[in-house]
Amino acid sequence: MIIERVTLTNFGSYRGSTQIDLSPDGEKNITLIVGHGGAGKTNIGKAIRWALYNLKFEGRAGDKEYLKEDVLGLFFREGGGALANKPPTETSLSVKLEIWPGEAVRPALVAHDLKFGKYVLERRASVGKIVPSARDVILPPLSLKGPNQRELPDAEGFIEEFLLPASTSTFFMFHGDRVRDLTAQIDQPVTDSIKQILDVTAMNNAVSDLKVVLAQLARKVAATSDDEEQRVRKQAAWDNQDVEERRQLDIKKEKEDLLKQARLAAESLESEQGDLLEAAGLFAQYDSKEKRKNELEEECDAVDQQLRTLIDQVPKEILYHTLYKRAVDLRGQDADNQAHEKNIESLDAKKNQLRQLLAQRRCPVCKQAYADSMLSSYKKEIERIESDIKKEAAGIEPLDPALAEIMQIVLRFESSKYDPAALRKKRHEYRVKITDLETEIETLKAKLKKFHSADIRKQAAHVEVDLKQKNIEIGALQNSIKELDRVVSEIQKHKLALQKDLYQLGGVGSTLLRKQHKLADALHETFSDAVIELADDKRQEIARETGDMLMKVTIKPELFHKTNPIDVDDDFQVRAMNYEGNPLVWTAESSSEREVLAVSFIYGLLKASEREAPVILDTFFGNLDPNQIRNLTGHLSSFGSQVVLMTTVTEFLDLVREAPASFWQHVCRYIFLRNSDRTDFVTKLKVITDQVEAQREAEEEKKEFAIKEVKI
Amino acid sequence: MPSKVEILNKYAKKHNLTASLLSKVFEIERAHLRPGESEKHFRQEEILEVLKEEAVQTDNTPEVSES
Repeated sequence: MIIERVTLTNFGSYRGSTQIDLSPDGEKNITLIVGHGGAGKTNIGKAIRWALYNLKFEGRAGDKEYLKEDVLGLFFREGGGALANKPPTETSLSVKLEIWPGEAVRPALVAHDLKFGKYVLERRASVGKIVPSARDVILPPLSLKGPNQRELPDAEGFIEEFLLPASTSTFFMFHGDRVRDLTAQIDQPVTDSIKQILDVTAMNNAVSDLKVVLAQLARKVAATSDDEEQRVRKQAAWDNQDVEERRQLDIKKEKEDLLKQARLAAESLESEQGDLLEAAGLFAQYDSKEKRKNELEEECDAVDQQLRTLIDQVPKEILYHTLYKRAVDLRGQDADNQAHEKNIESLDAKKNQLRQLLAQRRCPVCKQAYADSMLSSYKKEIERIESDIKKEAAGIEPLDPALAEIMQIVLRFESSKYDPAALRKKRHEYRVKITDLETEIETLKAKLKKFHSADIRKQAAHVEVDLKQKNIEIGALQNSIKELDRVVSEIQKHKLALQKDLYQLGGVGSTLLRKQHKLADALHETFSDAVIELADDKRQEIARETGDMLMKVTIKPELFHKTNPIDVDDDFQVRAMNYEGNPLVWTAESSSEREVLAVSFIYGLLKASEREAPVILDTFFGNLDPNQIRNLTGHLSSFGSQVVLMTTVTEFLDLVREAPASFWQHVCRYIFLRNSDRTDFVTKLKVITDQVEAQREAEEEKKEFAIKEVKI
Repeated sequence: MPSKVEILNKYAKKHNLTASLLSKVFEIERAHLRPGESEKHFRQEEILEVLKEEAVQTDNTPEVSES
């Protein structure tokens, strides 16, 4: 649906009749409503929710309706709404909404003989006395006029069926200070609303209703059976299963109550002991950082030790450098000597061989005496060899024993990994890490100052343990409920089989009844199958769309799991997952990220719901970081066909600074609200369509407001 | 992702049901989402009524035996 125009008459700070145009203009689907606190922004949101649902704007799912005493506070009062005890200045008020239903409901409207076009809703209230009390408030029924201007009955039913159900609207229209509630407390009423938005509830109801209808039809069919004995037996078996089913359902209900209590306890623990939980988180961080720092210091000391050992070797290094040249020469000389010695050895061997032959004076083979000439040639040969040996021996230079030791040092250095520069670098890296950790520890210490008391650490640890236990308890109860669901589903299958038998036994039963039974059976099967697939698809879609938007807007992507940042469980509980794939525990530092998650969730839900709903966000940007504002505003127009943003003047100027061109090109108008005359507190409107003019208006308004504040 | 209507139609086809009967039952459920036992009873009555109408309408067609 699209809210085209809102007309406020004597509502809140709006005296007389004020028309506010909110209609989107094609691709320009964003309307910006700008005004200082008290200017009347929130009154517009309040008026829309009151007119449509008689529900409060600042609340979330499950909020209370307006009572007469609340309505009394909505009348215009001179001097402002804060003077609620003062009687209203005007005696009647009304809110009129001009609405176009979404294209998706056109066939449904036609099926109900209703026209597709502009519908006008009007909620009125009046008081008959000058000084009224709550009981004097008169509330006529909500009025609904169709495109042909004729009054239609059941306006509330029309809103639920063709516009936007109340439970759904709480996700898309709210005040910024409630945004975190959307993800902080995904409790039973909220998950119920999600299921309702996605039509999972309607389908589940269809399954359970059809089961009852099937049972009724089966009984009717069986009542006409021939085989009475068998029918009675089957009926008794069915009755037994029915009793067992109810017993298991009672147990399930008890478990669900316990689960609800445990969840409430965990929530209240989180909300009431939030400070202590924050302290526990900080203490844990502090301890882990201290531990890491100590480890790093130990590792750094080890590196230092290695470095010192190496530095001890520095004299040897000097030795190495000064004596290296000599050592190299010495090595050459040594090699020469070794060559000479080798030659001498081989000459010696040859000489000895000749001497042996000479001593024997006879040939070892023929055993005959050598001829004298032979002997003489051997002698000459031996003399020549001896002279060669002398020459070789002359080439040998004696080695200095001290230099031999130098050679050993050189060899040792050449084989060692002597690299003090690398160790110095390593030590420096450790020192940098340690300094970083010290800075972080100091920051944590500063934060922990407020938890200085010695007992607080103990209490924080206790609260943390309590919360963990509660979460374990919740997990156990959830498992137990799942198991009960399985048991119940088995029983139901058994019952259905028995029902079919009973149906068969009704052989002479009315054909009409059998047909009805058959249709009911097929419908039951259809809805049972469809709801499983629908719920699965929708869970995946919400997780995917929310996750995609979250990763586009977040400035801390490292907080979330890279591929599956969002998990939607069987009960449609939506949770962010950390980088390890476990549910993310929010800390105080990431509060704005939680708002980013909430708004991403609204986007995911809108996409998965197949519904057309106006998104109305009041004073939402105040807590966001400039980068988050930049990332989010770039995607806001894709949220739906109508986006209404209410901002303070300061927030608007933040948007001017941060929002990209892709945001401004989708803004169709800027509505400036003023309520600066501090005598009657009447909101005045100024509509601008140009961005530059709007910026100028905001800047002037900021200046004027500052001057007035000083005067006051 | 297939839409809700596509999913319903897929299973209606599987179980030999007409889309109009399915949509009638679904609309009954969606129109009466307000909680309460009386509402539930009302829904079941309406479904029985729709089944009866459908059975009467198909009364002339030959019945397929239960499998």
